[in-house]
Amino acid sequence: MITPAQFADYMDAFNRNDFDGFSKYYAEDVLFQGRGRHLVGRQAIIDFYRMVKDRMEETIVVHHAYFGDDGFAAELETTLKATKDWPDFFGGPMKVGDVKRSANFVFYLVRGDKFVHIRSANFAQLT
Amino acid sequence: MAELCMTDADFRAYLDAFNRDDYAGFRKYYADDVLLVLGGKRELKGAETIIEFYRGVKGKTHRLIAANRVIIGVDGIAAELASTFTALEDVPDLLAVPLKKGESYSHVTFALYDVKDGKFTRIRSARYWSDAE
Repeated sequence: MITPAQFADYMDAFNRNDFDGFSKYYAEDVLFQGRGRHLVGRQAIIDFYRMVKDRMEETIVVHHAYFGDDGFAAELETTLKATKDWPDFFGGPMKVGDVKRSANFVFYLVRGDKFVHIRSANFAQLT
Repeated sequence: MAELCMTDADFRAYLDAFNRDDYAGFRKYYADDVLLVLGGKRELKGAETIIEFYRGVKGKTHRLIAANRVIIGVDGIAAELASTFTALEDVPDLLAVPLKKGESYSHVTFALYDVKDGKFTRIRSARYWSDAE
């Protein structure tokens, strides 16, 4: 079971690009699905975010979270600011300085204190 | 421990009423000024507006909703809902794909419900998956 404090710690680590800090919450066989991406395994997700964070600043704000026995759900606002041109970014072409904001609803399935399945649905493109 | 905003049984009773087209049964879960936001775009304000919207949808399709996952919080609910629509007539522009009478379309949505005094004050739904993708 993940506590609200642990989820806040996960998000804080994510936002400051602390890869060890946020990836410790991923099970080795974690599965990420959402917005056309399908990533299998802890290392695959780390590699994905290293690639993203090399090209843009990503900041996530948790607006709401709902905690259950075997997982939780969250309403997240994601802000992406390009630090490099990324013409084939999966969310649409980005030039340095471009900003995209989106609202996403995410379900996390948890085993112990690790995420085993993360699923994200885009609710709205804010900018 | 803080009191939850609704019981799991009550939420599932809401869905059951919705599935059997019991309008009074599911209307009672809506605050009068409830806001429904579909996919971050379409907004419907007010319980009666939403009921009329669903009367229109249900006049053309039979929709069955199953709750795959429900998390009840102190002031809201998160639910993963699997819906199957079966067309009762040709419906060219109601859903993500055109359907001919008898055809079906399914999707999974993540829905967040704001709850106050046992009633939904805001419902927001994001599509996670559909069989049209």
